[in-house]
Amino acid sequence: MDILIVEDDGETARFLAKALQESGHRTVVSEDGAEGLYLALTEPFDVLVVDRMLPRLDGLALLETFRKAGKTAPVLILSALADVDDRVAGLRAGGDDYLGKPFALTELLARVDALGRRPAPVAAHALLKVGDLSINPMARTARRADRVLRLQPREYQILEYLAHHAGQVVTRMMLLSAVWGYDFDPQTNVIDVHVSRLRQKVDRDFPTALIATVRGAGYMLGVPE
Amino acid sequence: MFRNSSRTFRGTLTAAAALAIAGAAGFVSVTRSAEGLLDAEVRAEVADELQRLEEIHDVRGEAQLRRAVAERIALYRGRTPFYELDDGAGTLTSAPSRPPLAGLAAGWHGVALATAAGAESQVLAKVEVLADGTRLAVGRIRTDRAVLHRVAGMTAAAAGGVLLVIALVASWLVGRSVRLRLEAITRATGEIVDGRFRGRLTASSGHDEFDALGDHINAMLDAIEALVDSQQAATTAIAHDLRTPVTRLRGRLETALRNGGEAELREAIGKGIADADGIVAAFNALLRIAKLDAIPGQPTPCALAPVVADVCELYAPVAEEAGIALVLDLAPDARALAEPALLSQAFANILDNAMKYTPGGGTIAVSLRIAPPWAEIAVADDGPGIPEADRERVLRPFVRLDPSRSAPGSGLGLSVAAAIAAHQGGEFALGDARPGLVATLRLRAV
Repeated sequence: MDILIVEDDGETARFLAKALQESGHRTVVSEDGAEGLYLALTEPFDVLVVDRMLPRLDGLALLETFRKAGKTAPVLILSALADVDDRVAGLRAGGDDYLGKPFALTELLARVDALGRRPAPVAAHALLKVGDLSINPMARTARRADRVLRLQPREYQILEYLAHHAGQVVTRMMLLSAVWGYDFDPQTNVIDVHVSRLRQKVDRDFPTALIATVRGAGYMLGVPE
Repeated sequence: MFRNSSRTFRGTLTAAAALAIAGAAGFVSVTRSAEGLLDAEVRAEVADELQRLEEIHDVRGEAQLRRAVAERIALYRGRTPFYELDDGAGTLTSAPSRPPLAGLAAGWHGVALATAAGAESQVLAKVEVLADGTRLAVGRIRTDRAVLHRVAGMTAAAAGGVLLVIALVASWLVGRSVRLRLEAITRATGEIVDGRFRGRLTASSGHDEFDALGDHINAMLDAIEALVDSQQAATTAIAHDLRTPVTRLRGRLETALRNGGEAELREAIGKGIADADGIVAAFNALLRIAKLDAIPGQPTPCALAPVVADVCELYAPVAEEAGIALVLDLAPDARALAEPALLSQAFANILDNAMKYTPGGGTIAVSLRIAPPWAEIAVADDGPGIPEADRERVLRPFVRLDPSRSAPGSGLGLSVAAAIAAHQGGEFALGDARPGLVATLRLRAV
C-alpha cells in the first residue's frame, strides 16, 4: 500500500516509515501539516497516518479539509492526547481510527492493515468464508467443515470480527473496542481467555488451526500457508 | 470628587441631566397651569360685568346702558378696568386715545393698553355685539406674564439648584459606596491574578447584592484552590512515584548495555518496553484522575444491571480459569445517574482489583441494590482484605500495599474508580467483607 505519514517528530516519522516499509508498504513522510495536506490532495494514497499536533496546519484541520475535498482514503490519527473526548473529536473530524501515543508498533501496523484492507462493502448478510470455516452474519451462526459451532454470543462476535479482517493482525484493543465497545485497557488478560475459548471450539478437532496468535501483537484468522 | 473615567461619575451625570429635563418640563407645565388659572378668574369677572351691563341694556334700554358705561369709565379713569361702548350715539372708551377695540370681532382678546401713568398693561377683554348692533367691550387687567415667569423661574431655579445638589451628593455617596465595595472585590480578584488563592472577601453587616457576589467569588476561589491543590498533589505524586519505575528502567538498560550478550540485551529491551508501557499507563491514569477531578461529569439516568453484567461477562472466563467463583446478585431495575462508559471502566477496575487479590478457590460476590438515595454496586472478595487504617490511603494515587509490587498494573485502578465515582456525583468506599475486601460504588439512584 501507499501510505502518507504526516508527523512532525522526525525520529518518530522515521521509525514509522521503516516499520511500514518492512511490512511491504511504500511510504511518503511529511513533517508539516500544510505540506502534508498538499501531498494528500495531489497524490493517491491508500492510507494516511496523521499526527494531531502539527506545525503550520493542525492535524484535525488537515483532516477536515481533506474530507471536504471529497477524499475517502482511510485516516489513522496519532495523538499524544488519547482521552475519550480527544478520540471523539478526532473521529468526528473524519478520522477512521485513533491511536494514542505512545503505541506499540504492532498495534499501529495492525490498524493500518485493517484500514487499508477494509472489507469491501459487501451485503451484510453475505456469507464470510475462511478456509473450511463459514459464517452466516444473518443467522449469527458459524460452521466448520460440516459441523455447526456452538458459540456464545461474544464468541460469535469475536469470530465475525476476525473473519472480517481475515489475514490481518487484530490486536486485543481492537477486539475490546469492536466487540465490547470499551476504550479502556483491562490490566488482566481478559481478551486472551475469551479467544482461547473460541479457539477450543473452532480449532480443537481439526488438523489445521485457523486462529493464530501473533506474538506481541494479537490474533489472526486465516488458513496457514 | 469623582474619578473622571468612572462609571459612577457618568451615571451621576446622566441622572442629573434626566432630572434637569424632567424639572424643566415640570416648570413649563406648572407655569402654563398658573397662567390658565389666573386667566380663568379674570374671564369670570369680565363675564359677570358684561352680563350686568347686558341686563341694564335689555331691561332699562340703550340710554341707561350708555349712562352706566360712562359712569364706570369715569369711576375707573386712569386705572385698568376697561370699558368701551359703540352704539348709534357714538363711541365711549376707557382708553385715553382712540378706542382700541373698535373693529375687533366678538369674543376674547388680549390687548396692551397704555395707562395714564404711561406704563403699559396687559388686559384681557371680551367684545360682545348686542341684538341691536351695539358693540360692548369689558376688560380686566391680566396678571403680568413677565412677572409670573420671573417669579416662577426664580422659584424653579432655587428648587432645581437644591435638588441638583442633593442629587449630586446622593449619587456621590452611592457611587462611593459602590466603588469601595467594587475596589475590595477588584483587590481580592487581583490577588488571584497574582497567584494568591488563600484570600477571601469579607461580607458586610447587611446581606446585599455585593455580599451575594462576594459569596460567589469566595465559592469560586474555594473551587480554584481545591483544583490547584489537587493539581499540585497530582504533580507531586507523578514526580515522586514515577521516579521509581523510571529508575528501574534506566538501571535495567544500563546493566544490559554494560555486560549483556545479545540474548540478555534482547530480554532487557523487551522488559524495558514493558516498563515504558507501565509508566505511560500510570501517567495516563494520573492525568485521567486530574481531569476527572477538574471537570464535573454530566451523568444521565442509566440502567445499571446491563452495564455491570457486561463487565462481569468480560471477566467471567478469567475467573473460571483462576478457579474463582463469580457470583452475581443484581437488582434488574436499578437505575442511577451515570455515564455508562465511565461506569464500565470504574467497575472493571474494581473487579480487576478483586481478581488480583482473590486466591484460587475463592469467591467474588457482585451485588447491585437500591439503598436510597444511592444505587450501590458492591464487589466483595474473600482475599486478604485491607486493614482499616489503610483503606483511605489506598485510594490515593500510587499506593499499593503489597510492598513486593508483584501484581501487575499501575496501582491506580481503585484511585481511578474513586475519581470516576466523585465525577459522577457518587461515592466510593472500601470496607471489611469479613474476611476480604468489599468495594462499594454508590451512584445517585433515579
